[in-house]
Amino acid sequence: MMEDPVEIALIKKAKGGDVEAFNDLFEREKKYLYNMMLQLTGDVAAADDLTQEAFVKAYRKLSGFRSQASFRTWLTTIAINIFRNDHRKKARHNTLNLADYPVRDHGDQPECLIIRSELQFCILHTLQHHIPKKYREVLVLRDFHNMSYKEIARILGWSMSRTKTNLHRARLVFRDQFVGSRCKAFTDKYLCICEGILSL
Amino acid sequence: MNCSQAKVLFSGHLDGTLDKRSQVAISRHLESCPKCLADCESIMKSLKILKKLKEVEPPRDLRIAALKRKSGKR
Repeated sequence: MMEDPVEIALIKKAKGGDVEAFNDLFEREKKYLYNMMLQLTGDVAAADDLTQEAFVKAYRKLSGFRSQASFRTWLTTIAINIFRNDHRKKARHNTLNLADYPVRDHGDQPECLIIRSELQFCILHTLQHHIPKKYREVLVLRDFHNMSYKEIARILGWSMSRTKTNLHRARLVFRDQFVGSRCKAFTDKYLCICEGILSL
Repeated sequence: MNCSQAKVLFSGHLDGTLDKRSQVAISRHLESCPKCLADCESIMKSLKILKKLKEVEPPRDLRIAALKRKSGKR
């Protein structure tokens, strides 16, 4: 159930045709949704496009929103469907660009910054190229966005037991792929990271 | 509890979402089974790495084009 009074008020206004209210909802959720799309696609341009598409679709379908779930859960359901129907060509292994995944500078040594940036790259790379879509979805929702099993089941259209089983399998696949990846680009270019990770 | 039954509970154990009975059972199994313990710990370590992926700021120009036109926002 939706409980945030500000969100409830914004949705009520947006349903009544208040575009500014919907823009406020967009501002509240855009960072979350953009990151989710980036984690699912591993591609900044695709994340940008799909985030916009999800919000436009949410705006059009807002009259059908029944407040049985939070706005975020409802929006995520729309976004996941858009991601599933996105038929753009899968990015090639070498198309990820480290510069697209900047890390915050906490005054670390330059080497640490590079390693942290590479780690971001490696995680996204593994998600994008080595984890099947259905497992990627459940991992992203649970392990990056802390969605409850119940919310994930609702969003992905799965039973609770299927959600638990797929989450377990997804984590196993991530562990096995991340630790034991034989991806050439991964191992050749980012050996410094992999050496540490391989000691798991 | 055997190893197959324990493996199904790894994720719930790591997330802290098991009911008390299951939690006790898996804890007991992990205490007595080094193989499952190592397996569960390796999942936990890889999850820690997975969670190191940081959120990024969306592009500044990320807007809903269709709504921007309607509201006249720039």
